[in-house]
Amino acid sequence: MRLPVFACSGPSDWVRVAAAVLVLGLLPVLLDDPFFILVLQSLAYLFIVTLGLDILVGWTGQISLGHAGLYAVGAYTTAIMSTRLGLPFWVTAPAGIALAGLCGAALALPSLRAKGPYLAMVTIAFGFMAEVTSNRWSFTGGPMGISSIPPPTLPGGSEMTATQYFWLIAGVALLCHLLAANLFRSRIGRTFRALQSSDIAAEIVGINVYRYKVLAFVISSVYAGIGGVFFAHQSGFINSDTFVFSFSVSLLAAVLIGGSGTLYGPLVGSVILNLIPTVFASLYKYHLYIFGGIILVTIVFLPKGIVGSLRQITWFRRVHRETPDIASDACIPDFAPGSLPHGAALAIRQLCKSFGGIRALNGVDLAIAPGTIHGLIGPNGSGKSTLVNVLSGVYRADSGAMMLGDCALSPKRPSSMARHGVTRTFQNIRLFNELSVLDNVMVGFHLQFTCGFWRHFLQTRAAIAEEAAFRRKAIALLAFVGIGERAHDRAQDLPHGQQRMLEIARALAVRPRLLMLDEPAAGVSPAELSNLMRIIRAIRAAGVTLLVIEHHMDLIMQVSDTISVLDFGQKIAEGTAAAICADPKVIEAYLGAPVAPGEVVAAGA
Amino acid sequence: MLLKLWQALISGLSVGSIYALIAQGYYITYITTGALNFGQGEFLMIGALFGLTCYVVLGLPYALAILGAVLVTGLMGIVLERIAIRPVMRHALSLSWVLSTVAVSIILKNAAVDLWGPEQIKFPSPFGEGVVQIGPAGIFPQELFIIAVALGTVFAIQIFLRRSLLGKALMAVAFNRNAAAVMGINVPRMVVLAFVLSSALAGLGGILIAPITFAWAYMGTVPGIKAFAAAIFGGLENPIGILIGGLIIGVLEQLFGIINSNLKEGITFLFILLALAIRPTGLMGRQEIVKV
Repeated sequence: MRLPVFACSGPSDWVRVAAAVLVLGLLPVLLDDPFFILVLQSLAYLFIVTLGLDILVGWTGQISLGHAGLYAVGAYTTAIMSTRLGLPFWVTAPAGIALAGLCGAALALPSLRAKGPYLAMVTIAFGFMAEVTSNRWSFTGGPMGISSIPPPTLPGGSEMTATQYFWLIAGVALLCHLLAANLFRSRIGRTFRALQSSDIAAEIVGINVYRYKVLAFVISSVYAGIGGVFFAHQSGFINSDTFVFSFSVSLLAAVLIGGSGTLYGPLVGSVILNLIPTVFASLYKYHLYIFGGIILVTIVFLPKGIVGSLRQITWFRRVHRETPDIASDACIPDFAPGSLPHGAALAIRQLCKSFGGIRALNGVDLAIAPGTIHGLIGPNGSGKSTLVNVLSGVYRADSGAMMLGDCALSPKRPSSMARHGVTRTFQNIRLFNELSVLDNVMVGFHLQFTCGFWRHFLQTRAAIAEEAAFRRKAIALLAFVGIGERAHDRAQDLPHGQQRMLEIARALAVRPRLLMLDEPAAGVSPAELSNLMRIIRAIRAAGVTLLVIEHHMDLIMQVSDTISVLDFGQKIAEGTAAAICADPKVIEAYLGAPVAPGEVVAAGA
Repeated sequence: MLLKLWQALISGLSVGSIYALIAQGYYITYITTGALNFGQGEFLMIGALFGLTCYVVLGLPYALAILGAVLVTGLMGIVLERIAIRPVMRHALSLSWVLSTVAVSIILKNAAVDLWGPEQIKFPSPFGEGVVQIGPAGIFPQELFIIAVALGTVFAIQIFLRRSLLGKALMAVAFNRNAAAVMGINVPRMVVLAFVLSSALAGLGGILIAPITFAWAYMGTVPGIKAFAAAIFGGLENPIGILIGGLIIGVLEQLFGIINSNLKEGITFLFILLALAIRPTGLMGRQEIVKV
């Protein structure tokens, strides 16, 4: 029987959940000691915060050194509302969590372009602002903080006991974990992990990278806010001493020690780091040595963290092997002609693009008939790649017009071009390296998923069914490009030629009306070349318009219906393969102008 | 009022030139390795405390104490590179170095508490406690000394990088690691040199600033972070921008300190958030064109 939500979880998952509930339920009863229960409470809510940080850091590859600030927002909001306004926990807690989420969204605003150390600075600055505000502002109680924050009440009106409060926190922690697990295996988590490998590749399949980065920040901040709320009502007193830079650092350390990008890493990491002070209480003088030493040793010797390293051991890997091979349903005619939308005509007029003083495109006109293969050649530096970059929305043209069918294009981002049905492959392969081959294609279906965030977050039956349907289509696409048997390998483990095929399969998943292949034959072995030609022709047969950039003349001459030649940012010739080969301008562009014999002698003399 | 402004300007410039000094260290290691030492502040702290031992306990001249602080922190830079940078730069995860350098800084803090105790220690100024009249205001001579030495060092480093053979080799590694290696430059050694310079700059900053603050185990974190803000503001790859960023942040802090001491603490971070909202690669950093 499957529930309407969490429908992905089978019997074995529910057995595990039941076991977890049993352990969490019995722990405070068996070890009935106030101090112990306090430690358990802290572990549970710090686990939530760490898990949230892992979603941001380990999945999407962003960084936050300011999570203490978000934790503070949750804690102060609930503390102020419950002490000053006398509101019950059940009102103040959601408010604190929501405000933390809002702050996360604001914090994410510069994340579009700020990367690496610059993004780190944004989060550090936010963390310090929160620390300074809580320490200096009278509203937050200043250094004296806020005291007598009441514990939550039961529906009857009596206050929760410590054990009951632990059960509440643990229950929420379990729920947070299950939801994160949902997210991890759904398209949302897959998209997050794709961002870590390549922003641009994610954009060209239609992912609005900015929106997803903001989403990751918000989810992460909500988790931090939950932790902060629980902390405030646990200790009953908060001041700025808790919300310091070093707390943000220790959260990040917990993520990396446990294993970033894994589901159970945050659990292991937060338990280890937060037990240190308790276990080594007698060695207080040395606790910073121990803390720093553990961080340093794990990062140097276990770069994937404890859980990540365990997974590398073969025995574990077999256990954790992803879902078994789906029968590759070759009967599903996903790639039959007609299954793709009809190819569109592309018309470009007077396209210009300059970099500094270099005019990479200098008034290019180009017309591509629908459903044909259009070859684009030209010497190095002639503007081919720039043209593809403009057409795919990676660069913005300085001037000129682009029409796809009868729709004028003025792309702001590559993802908006993908929405129009224009996508591409890359000369320098850009795959989602850490994802499986299958998942790379699954990311390509991004625009076609109809179930939104909430359905995937909760894993409703509709979301599961949709996911399964796209998995079958993905397998069919992989079989079509000839790498079906590699579906469960990591993309970065494929040989070069197969990686190119995978890029094509991913691009086809977008259901393009215009597909641009940027040097698809580069690095492809002669044996694989015929497969590539078969694929290119089959895509045309399916009705898609293709623009192929290539230096491999055999390929381009054999497959193209029409060929255009660029030189110095301008089109110098256009026609069939035979016409192009005979065109003196083309020969001159590639080989140089014919030189009179006398000049050669003069130069030699 | 004018008097206060004048004083704030001089103190701001002296604190700001310390930020610029530390931030120059971020610049040198960032261009050569793409990593930086998030524990620069703790190297500053070691510079101050070790300098204190040389100057007060051993009774050495201030100049020798400076030399000692620079040497010790420089040597620590070698160790840092060995244990916290070299082993993690191979890792796929791009932010390993953030935590490995922070881990070293945590250990240093504990070591400093063990060696020098947790209290704030007064570092007597070598120029005495008197003030000199400059214009309308009384200025500590140490502040002027800081400005002169810090800015002098920043310029000396730039001349070293641009004019000397060793400096040019370092810059070559920064521009293109592989090409530099092919030309016979020992790249790993240049990386070590970058971390030695970076650490020594922080150590120098520590012994310079200690006489106008205090020396103690927890003195480093905030200046280290503020110097990072200066480097980010100026653009991590732009040494002139970093210098200006350091001075602006130093002065801004002191000016806002006149109005309200709470503002003084927060203004740097508010300022850098605004700056990054406007230009995500720093106000003077360059915008990268993605090559596809």
